[in-house]
Amino acid sequence: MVSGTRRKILLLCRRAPYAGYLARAGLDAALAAAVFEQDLTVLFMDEGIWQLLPDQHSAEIECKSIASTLDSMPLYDIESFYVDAESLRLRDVDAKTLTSKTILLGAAELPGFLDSFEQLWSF
Amino acid sequence: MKISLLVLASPYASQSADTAWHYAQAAAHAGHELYRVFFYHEAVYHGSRLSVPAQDEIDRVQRWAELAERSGAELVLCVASALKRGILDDTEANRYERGAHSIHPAFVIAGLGQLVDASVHSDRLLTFGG
Amino acid sequence: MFDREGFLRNLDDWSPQVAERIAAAEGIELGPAQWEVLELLRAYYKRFDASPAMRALVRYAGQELGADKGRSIYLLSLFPGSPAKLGCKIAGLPKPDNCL
Repeated sequence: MVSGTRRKILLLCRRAPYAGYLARAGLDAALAAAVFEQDLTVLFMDEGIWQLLPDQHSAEIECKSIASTLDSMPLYDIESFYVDAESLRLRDVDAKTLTSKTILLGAAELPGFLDSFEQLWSF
Repeated sequence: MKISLLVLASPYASQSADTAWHYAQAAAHAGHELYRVFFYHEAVYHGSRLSVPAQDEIDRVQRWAELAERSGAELVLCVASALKRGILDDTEANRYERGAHSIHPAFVIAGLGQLVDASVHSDRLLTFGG
Repeated sequence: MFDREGFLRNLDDWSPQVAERIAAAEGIELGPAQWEVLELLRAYYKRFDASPAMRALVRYAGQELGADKGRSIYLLSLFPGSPAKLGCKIAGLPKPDNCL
């Protein structure tokens, strides 16, 4: 079904982890791309940065843990996550408090970074 | 160009879903090939055959069906999203013993592999409702 | 107790005895090697709140059980066809790759 071409895809995660299920939908799409051997990179931006916070205790709001899914992503060859530095700054979040291996992207780097991908999946 | 769409927003809850349709319509009209429209998350409601819009409202389910007919695009609903929202085809209705199917005949149910396939086989893939 | 595909309707109904039942229905004999993978799957589910796709299972097996067991061919020898799916069925976990 899926053969040959390997697309360079950017998954843009802009929603908070438990504000609806769009965050979950985005991560499931990432795992699917990985299973089908695509070159997928993840960027957290805007409200999406909250997905990277520790101690989510999502069971208390009857939700599956986004943090757990992020923890499993190295097993799908998604080893690290890009984070928009400005989104962190605006929300007064220190990058050091984030879980997972994160790579910060400054405002000046962002356009070139986005341009380097063939396709954007925006969640 | 070969174009596919990823639609995330539900038909009666967001403008994005309408924008997706208008974009698809314009792309087809301009001579591009519409390969696949992948409805994921809340957008699976576009595939309900039980939707009854008011007489003076646009039938947002039907117009996708008509666009697919004209353009040859495949309309796919993501299986996990569709199942939990009660959009089932015959196979799924039997598998889970739900007694009735609810999918509009112009749509098919498939997995996220079809989103990846659309990505691989299209020159452009656009997200609406993200 | 089981859906039409043989997966548990209610995951709380699982027990090692139930696992034996499901395995027998699938024609699989559960020896120590199979049990090791079943326990691995349950550990994966507990840690990541999800059933693994095949590639993640292979990686995880390599990490937790050693490189010689972190190979598709090894897992296929224990659970022929679709080790992740079959393993999850016997281990009383949700179907993996639900959306694939």
